Amino acid sequence: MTDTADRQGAEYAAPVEAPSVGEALSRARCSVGLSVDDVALQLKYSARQIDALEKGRYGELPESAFVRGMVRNYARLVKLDPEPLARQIAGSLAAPAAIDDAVPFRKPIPFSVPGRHVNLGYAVLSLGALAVMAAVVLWPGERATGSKLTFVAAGQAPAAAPAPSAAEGVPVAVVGTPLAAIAPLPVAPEPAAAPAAAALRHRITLRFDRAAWVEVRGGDGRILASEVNAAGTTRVLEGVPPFKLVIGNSRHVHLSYGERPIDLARHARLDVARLTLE
Amino acid sequence: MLGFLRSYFSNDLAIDLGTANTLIYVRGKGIVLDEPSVVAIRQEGGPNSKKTIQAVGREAKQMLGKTPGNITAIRPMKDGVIADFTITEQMLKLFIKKVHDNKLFSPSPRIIICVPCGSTQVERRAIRESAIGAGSGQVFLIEEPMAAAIGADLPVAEATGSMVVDVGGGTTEVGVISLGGMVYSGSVRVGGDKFDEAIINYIRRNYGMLIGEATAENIKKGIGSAFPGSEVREMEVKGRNLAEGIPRSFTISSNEILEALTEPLNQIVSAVKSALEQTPPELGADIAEKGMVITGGGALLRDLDRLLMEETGLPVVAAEDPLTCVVRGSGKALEKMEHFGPIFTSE
Repeated sequence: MTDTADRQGAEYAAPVEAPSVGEALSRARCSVGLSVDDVALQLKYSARQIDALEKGRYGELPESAFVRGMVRNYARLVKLDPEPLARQIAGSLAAPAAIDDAVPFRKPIPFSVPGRHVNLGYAVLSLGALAVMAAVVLWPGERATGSKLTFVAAGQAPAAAPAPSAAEGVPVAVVGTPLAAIAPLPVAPEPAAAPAAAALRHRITLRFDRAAWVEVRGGDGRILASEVNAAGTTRVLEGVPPFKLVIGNSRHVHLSYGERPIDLARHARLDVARLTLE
Repeated sequence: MLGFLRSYFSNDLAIDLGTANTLIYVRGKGIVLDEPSVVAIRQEGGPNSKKTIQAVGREAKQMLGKTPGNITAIRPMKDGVIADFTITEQMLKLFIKKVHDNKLFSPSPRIIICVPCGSTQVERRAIRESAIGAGSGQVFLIEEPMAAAIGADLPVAEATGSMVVDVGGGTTEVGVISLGGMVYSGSVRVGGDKFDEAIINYIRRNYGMLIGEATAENIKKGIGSAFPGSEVREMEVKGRNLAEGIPRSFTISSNEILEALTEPLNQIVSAVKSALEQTPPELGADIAEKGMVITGGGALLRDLDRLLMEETGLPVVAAEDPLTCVVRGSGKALEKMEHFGPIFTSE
């Protein structure tokens, strides 16, 4: 503001033929015998403002519209034609600021409601997290569905055609096992005399090279095992399928379902294997 | 659908529907109409016969007080608001038609129209309805002090107090504006018409002469003054002598007119003082530094600024082209309608 005023003042002080507005007013004031204080008293401005106008220090004066009015009133008081002076000073003053940039007319920022704060960053992050979760949940599920379908096809094939007796055994599908890993497990037929309940029971064998935590839940909802098993031990569990297994330190655990070994590496994530045996 | 088409062929307008004059600003063109708010109505063959419009605007004003029995020259606006709804609507319709070049489609412009800040909800609604009745598609209302301040180039959007006194034909509006809104607004139903009335009454009382409104207006414009100055002017006036019933002429001086105008001028001074009393001190300090601006036809009354200056002890400046300040301000609001959204007033 001061820079602008100085610049304007400097421009004003440049040698020009016509006297500046301030000079013209100052001369006219002297010719009618008035002091700066007299003019200030008559026009109700302060002497500082009158002096600033005469010396061309426009930065100390109010906005353009008021200064033009001030010049007209001053000119009338000292018996000068006000309009040419008002026109002349209008060119020396800074143009009024564009209304478009004015604070009250900018697009208002809506008042935020506490607790309902919506941050776009958070929204994007949440959506990303949801997408990852959906991928985790759906991807193995899809594989499981594929496995089941394969299993059904494999299981029905022997029924359609005369098959070896092994094919009639209880089929086993390992949820989460890819197609290549799936094969009907040949299980020895139960003795005919065995009770029906015993025929439904299946055996899981777990051998531990190192200490590992295991949780096995049977098809009837009972927890068959939930403990840390010492290295070098073997654990044999019997129950009703499907079994849900969670095996920690899975790289050092060997699992067999009946007689069939199961590769835990395919079900392990961060060394914890989660699988279902049917 | 048709409204959209019609608005495509119509220009947006800003209207200063004043008691004395109606001014119209067309978007992109500027002020295109400045006519007195007067309508001359012709009624032929008895009181129940059909009324027709004989003249409107300047032509009708020339008929004021000089009409035969079948023609009535009416000023449908009184004290800044509508006094005769139908006539106002007809007058607006004719004015809008006048400023539209397109003869094929009847105009359906968006209109910004000024209302006095002291007008009631009913009065504002009447103005809005009359504009819609005159063919407007959409009507926005703006308070006169705000329009006047924008028209006078005051820094209305800044965090500084600007005071504007708009002395119109029917009302005097006082507004203190800061940050794009009215901090204080006051309105008194005193304006140019009351000045004329005061002159008529003074001459009747002191000279026993009856003069018309047009003569009173000429006296006001010729030798009217608001503050005793060094120069005393005189004017020869013709009127009807009440005692003799014969037209006579006499000479009246500016000092006598000043005496006649004392009462309405005092009301304006009171309104300004009341505004200053109720202005927050920070804004009052800004006004003391910069002064107040007077706009409207009343600003042309000689030494009105001097009177306010002496009464308040503050600087007072008259705006450039004070008669058109309100319509120019409304026009600016029209040009930048998207930015000026918050300044429009509701009913």
